[in-house]
Amino acid sequence: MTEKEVEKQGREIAEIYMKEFREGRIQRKTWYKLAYLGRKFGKNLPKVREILNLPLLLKKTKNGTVSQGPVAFEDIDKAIRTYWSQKDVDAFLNGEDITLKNLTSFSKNHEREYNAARKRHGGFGKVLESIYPSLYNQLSLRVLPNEIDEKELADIFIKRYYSGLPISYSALHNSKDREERMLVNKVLALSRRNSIIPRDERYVKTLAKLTNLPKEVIATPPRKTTQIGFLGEELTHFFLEWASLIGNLPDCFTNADIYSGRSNATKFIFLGDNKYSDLRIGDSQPIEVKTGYSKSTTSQKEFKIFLDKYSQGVWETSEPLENCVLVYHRRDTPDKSQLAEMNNRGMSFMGFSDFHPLFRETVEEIKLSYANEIEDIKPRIHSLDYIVELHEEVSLRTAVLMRSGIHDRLRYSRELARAFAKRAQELRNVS
Amino acid sequence: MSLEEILGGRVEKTEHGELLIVEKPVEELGFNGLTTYIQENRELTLNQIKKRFPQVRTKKGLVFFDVESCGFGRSNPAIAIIYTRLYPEIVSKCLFARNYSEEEAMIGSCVGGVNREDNIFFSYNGLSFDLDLLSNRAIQNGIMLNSSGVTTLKQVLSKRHIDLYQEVMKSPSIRKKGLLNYKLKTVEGELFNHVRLGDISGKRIGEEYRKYIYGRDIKGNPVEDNTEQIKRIVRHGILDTISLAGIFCYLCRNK
Repeated sequence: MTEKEVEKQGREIAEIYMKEFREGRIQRKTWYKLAYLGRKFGKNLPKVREILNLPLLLKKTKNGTVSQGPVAFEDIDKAIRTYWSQKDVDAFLNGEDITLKNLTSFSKNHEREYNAARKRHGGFGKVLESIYPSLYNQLSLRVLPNEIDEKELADIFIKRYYSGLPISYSALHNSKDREERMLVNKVLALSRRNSIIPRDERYVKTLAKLTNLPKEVIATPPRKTTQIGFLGEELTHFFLEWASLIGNLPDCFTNADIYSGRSNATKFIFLGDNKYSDLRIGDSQPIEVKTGYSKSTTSQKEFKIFLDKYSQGVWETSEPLENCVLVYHRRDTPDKSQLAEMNNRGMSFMGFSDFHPLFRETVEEIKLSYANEIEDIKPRIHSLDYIVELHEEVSLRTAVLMRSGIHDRLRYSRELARAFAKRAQELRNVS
Repeated sequence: MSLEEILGGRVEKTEHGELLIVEKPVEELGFNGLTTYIQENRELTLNQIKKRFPQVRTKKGLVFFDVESCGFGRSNPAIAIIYTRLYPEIVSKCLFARNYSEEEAMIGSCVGGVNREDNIFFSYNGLSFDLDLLSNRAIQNGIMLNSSGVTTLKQVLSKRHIDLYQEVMKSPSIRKKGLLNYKLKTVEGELFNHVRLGDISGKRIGEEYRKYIYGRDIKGNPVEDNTEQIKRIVRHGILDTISLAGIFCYLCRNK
C-alpha cells in the first residue's frame, strides 16, 4: 500500500500520539497501534512514524538525555570508544598488563547501545570488531558446548583441585584471570544440555559429574571465606608478636603493644561510622590484612575506600590513624599506581613474597631459642614447620582450607595461631 | 615424655609431612586368648586360604586393617590407620596423626600399599564405613589414590577387599552359635573367648583425641594430660585388626 494510505489510516492514531507527546509520555498501546499499522501495510514502525511525521520523545538515561527511537550507529560507536579508549585497547591487544572492562559491564552501562548493536547491526561482536578489530575475541567468554573437550576440561579441574587451586564458581567467576573465568563458562555451557538441574545447582552438579569429585568439595561452604580471613589475621598477629619479641620486626611496623579482634582498641571512626581495623599496633598504627579470596583492594572502588578509611579515620581515642600497613596473604598485589598512592599517604604494603621469608625466619628462631617456652602450648603442635606450611597454604592454596572436610584442621590452625600469639605477648610482658 | 616415647613408636618424615608410626609384634601386645588362637591356627596353606577366599594371591599380601576417626560422619578426620599382617610374622602397625595436620601424611603413606596388586585387604564393615571414610579423607586432603583420576578406594581395591562382617554373617558355623549381634567384640568373645578389659569404646575416641589436642573437654574445662587414653586408642585399633586376623583364621578352617 502507499504512503498516502498509511497517512490516511494513521491520522487518528497520530492525533492520540501527539496528545500523549504533549503530556510527556507515549502509552504502550499507542506504540502497538502504530506498529500494527506498519505491519498491515508492510512498513516498519520507524517508517510509519516518519510518514505520519511524529516526533520522538526525549528520555533521560544514565548516559544523558537521548531520544526514543533506534540508536544510530554513531551513538553505538561513541559509547564503545568512550567505554574502551583507543589507548587502553592498544595496550591490551599488545599484551601489556592492563585490565579492560568486560562485555557484561558494557551491556549494563550502555544498555540501549548494546541492544541496538545486537538487534539492528548484526550482533554486538560484529560491531565491536568493526571498531576495534580482535578485541571481541579477547573479551568474549562465550563457549558453545560442542567446542568443549570434556576430558580435557575434567583433567584441568582435577589438576587444579589436587594442586590446591580453586574450582568453586565464586572463585573462578570473580577471578581477574580470563582463562579462569572461561572455565566457569565452559562448565555452564555443558550444564545447559541438562536443563532439569535447577539453575543455581548447575555448576556444582555438572562439575561433579565431569570430574567425579564430590559436590561438597566443589561448592564453597558458607562463611568459609570469613574463617580464612580470620586465620590470615591471626597468623599476622602471631608473626608481629614473635618478631617483636625476637627483634626482627620489619621497619614498617612499630614495636609496641598489639591489639586484635573487634574491640574498642581496634575501633576507629570514619565519616561518622564505626569501623574496625584488623590489628592495631601501639597508639596509632592500623594493620589491614587481606587473605586468600577475600575482597581485594585492587579494584579501583574498593581501593579508594581503603585509602580514605585508613588515612582519614580517627581512633576512638581520638588519635589519627597513621602509617597503615596493608598485608597480603595472597597471590596478587595492588598495581604500581595503587602502591604509589599508598606511599603518598604514608602507607606501606607487604605482600606474600616479602612476608613469608620473614615468617619462616621467625619460626626458625622460635624453634631454636624458645623451645621450652612453647612446650606446653595447647592445642598441641609437634612440628613448627606446620605453621610455616600453613602460611603458604592460606596464601597460595587457600582452596584447600576452604574444603568442608578440612574444617577441623582450620579451626585447630586458628586456635594454634592465637595460642602462640598469646604466649609471645606473655613473654614480652615479662621481658 | 613425648607421645612417641609413651607409645614406643617413631616419627617418620614423609612427602606429605611427619607421622607417628607404632609397630609391634603381637607378643608384645598381650591379647592372650586371641593371640593364642591365632598362633595355633595360622598355619594355613595357600590352597586352604584360596578355598575360602579365592582372590588371595600370596600369604604375605594379607592385610587386616581398621580406621579410627573423630566420629561416624565421612567428613570427620581420620586419626589412625592400623593394619596387621599375618605372614610371615604377626606384626601390627599403627599410623597415628598426632594432630590434625598429620592426617594428610597418614593417608598419603597408605597409597603405595593400596595399589600393590598382591595385597588383599580385610576389614570389618569396611564396605559401609572404612573405605568411604578413607576415600573421602583422601579427596579432602588432596591425595590421589591412583593415577586414574578421582577414584574411591572401593574402585581401586575392587575384588582385593573382603568385608569380614559380611563373611561372618554368611558363615553357617557362626550363625549356629546364635549370637545376639555380629559386632566385632561379640564375635571375638564367642570365637576366641576373649574379653576386652579396659578397652576404650569407639564412641569416645573422637572426644579423647580432641581432649589430647586441645587440653580441654567439650565444655571448655581443662583436662589433665590424657596421653594414656591415646595409648588405649592405639591399643584398641590394633586389637580390632588382630581380631580380624583371628576371624580370618577361623573362617579358613570352618564353614
